Amino acid sequence: MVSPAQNGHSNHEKVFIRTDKTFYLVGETIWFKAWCVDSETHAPSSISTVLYAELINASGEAVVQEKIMLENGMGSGQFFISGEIAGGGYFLRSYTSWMRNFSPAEFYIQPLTILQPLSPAGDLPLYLSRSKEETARRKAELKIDLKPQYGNREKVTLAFTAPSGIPQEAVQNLSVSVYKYPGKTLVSDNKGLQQVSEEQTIKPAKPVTATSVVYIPELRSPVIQGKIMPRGNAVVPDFIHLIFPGSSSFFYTARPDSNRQFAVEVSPEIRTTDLLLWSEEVDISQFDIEIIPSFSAAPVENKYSAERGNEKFIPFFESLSVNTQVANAYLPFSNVRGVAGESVYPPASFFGQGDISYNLDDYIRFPTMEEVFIEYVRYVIKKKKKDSGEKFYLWDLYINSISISNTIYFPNPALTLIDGVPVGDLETIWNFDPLKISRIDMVNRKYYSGEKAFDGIICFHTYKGDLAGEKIPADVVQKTYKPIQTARTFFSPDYDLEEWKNSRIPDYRSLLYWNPGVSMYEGRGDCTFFTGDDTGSYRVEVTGFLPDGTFVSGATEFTVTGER
Amino acid sequence: MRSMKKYLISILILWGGIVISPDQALGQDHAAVYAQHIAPDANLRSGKSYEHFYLSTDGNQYLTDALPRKGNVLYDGVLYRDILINYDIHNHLVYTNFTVNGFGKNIILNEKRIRFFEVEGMRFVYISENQYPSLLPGIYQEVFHGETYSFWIKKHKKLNNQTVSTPGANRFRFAEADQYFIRSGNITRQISSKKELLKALGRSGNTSEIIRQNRLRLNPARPEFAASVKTLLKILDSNQ
Repeated sequence: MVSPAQNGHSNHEKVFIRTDKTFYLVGETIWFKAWCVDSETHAPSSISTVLYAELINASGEAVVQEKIMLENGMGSGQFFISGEIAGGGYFLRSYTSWMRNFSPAEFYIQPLTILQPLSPAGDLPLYLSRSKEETARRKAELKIDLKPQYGNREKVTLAFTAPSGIPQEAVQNLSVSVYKYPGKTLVSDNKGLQQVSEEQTIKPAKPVTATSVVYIPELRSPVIQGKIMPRGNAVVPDFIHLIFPGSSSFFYTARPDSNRQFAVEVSPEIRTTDLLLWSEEVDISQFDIEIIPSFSAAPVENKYSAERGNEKFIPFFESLSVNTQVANAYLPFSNVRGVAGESVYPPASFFGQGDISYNLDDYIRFPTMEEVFIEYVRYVIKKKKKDSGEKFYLWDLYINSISISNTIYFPNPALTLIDGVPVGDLETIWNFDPLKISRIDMVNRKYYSGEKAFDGIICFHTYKGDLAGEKIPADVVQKTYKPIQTARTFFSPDYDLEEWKNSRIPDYRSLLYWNPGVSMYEGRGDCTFFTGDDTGSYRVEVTGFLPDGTFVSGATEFTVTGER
Repeated sequence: MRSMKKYLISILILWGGIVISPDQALGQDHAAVYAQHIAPDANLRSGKSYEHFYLSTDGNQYLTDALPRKGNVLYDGVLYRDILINYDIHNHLVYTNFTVNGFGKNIILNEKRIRFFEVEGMRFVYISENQYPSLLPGIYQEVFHGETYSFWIKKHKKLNNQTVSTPGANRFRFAEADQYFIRSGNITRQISSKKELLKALGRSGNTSEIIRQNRLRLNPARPEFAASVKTLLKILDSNQ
């Protein structure tokens, strides 16, 4: 592991976000690109791989929260603005786990406006410009080449050039957004949001001395931190297991320290919100277990001014409102929410395949689980020891392969699971309807989970991986987990393709193009998109950080006239 | 007295109800804080135990031998570099090796959560069900993967019938039997001869010309077969 002193970077990072635009209607999606950079050099940060982003309303409540993965200090995500979200001024706030050890004033904040389709503008604070990148040490303006005018459904080729003198190496981290805009005549200040008070201004990032280290940096993947507190004189177990059940199960082992705190690094591939805690040693439900919230509870201070008395914008937002409803009604839903990427990993239990498996549909079905075990399940025995209830003990694959007797079983009970949920008491198994079980997997060798070793695993799988409606055992503590957001890709019609060329579907998108990963090579980059059926002013914005920390941006406008 | 003071500080520093110990002191760099709480390559340290089975054989079931080599693996969404890794070709098991308290532990990785691993200059990928219809799910050596063409090798080491290698002692022998797969566009097929390879690529004058110019040896029995196919596909892919 490289320490900051070794790589010349500071021990601090900061986040910069670029949204596709700054004003939205309910039913639209907020697309964003995030750069997490070293607070001194502005080069991509090597500290964090997880970014926290939340949409906070004027009352300070987070209405949507998302976690996204960062790769080389960059990532992208989206918030869908559902009908439950009220119109008003909002803040997109973003930070990393490591940044939470320092002042919340270092968190990135971008004010946004969300409008309800039927009651647009009114007296809502309107944030039509962006917060400035106050702290960039080096800035460069991109020159954007574009015609001033386009027709409907016309292909637009957008080319941009960086000024000479900036590094010419290839980058693939620029964000490009093209969205419908009220136009220069209506938006007076287009130079960035002005902050209300100088005292509240976010000063250029200075290394802040941490007052205490609480949040572990997420160097590789998300980290879950927690604390186990006994009630009365109970002894804290040596190991706690954190489990994500289901057909894609995950199983982790944590060892509480002398302060009874624990931490586990978990996979970014977890998709379930169910987090279970269990211990083989004690009934963990008799303890108070606190999982440290992933998101910051620090309040947001409004440092930005907004346009008010917005009558002049009413016609613009009314037409935008109609267009959004038309787009949502006619275009594929994926256009609004984006196309969800498929998981690269197929569903699998955390242990992989069983050494011995029984697909129960391949055998005669029996009315009780006990009969299933009596009739055909081999390589496992049940035993009851003095100090515990009845448990499964597995046949040891390795020892038996080198022994003559071939009848050696592990000395300790196997980890017994249903869909990844631990079952300490075999009564639960015997009471389970065998018709709800599709497969039994047995791991007939040692299974290591961090520092803990189990004498094999026997796992019962239901057809849907949902315990077939049965309850979670009482000695398993249930918590919730916020998984990493599933990546989505912005969708727009390609009118060069036959399927769209003669399409009669109306295209009234207010966001024509969004791409968080546009490449630039030797100071030049380009991308293409199509205009829709609407007319008016559109704003183009290109933004990014170069590997040396230079902040590059460019903006221009064009109009769609309806003629080609 | 000093330790008492340290203890008092530890219970006085509170944040969100979590007690901070004095050794989580101020000004530590992020790497030190991480290392204090998370074991190195923590999530590679979980899995089924791997034991060496066939000890009394001619040859071995591994990529090279039973000794894990340094390699990289993208596992469960996280890239781990320079970890000890080995591939048991006979059992199709990928395992890592860690030393804990002086004892080496071999831990089998869940193959469905391997995106790729690189060891001994070779790259292997896990191909899942329905990813390429002609390929059974499993670990494949990815020799080339381009826009239009791909070339994978499914490695096998089969335990042959008993052979007598020394007088009076019966021993088993591992025999390699690789299978080759070519993807051309959306079609993936197994090939076992030069003729089948050319058929899979769609025989054209251009292909023959590339083969001739580069003196490519496309007989699967020859040791340079994989390298020759890679060269051919690379050129064809760049010509697309």
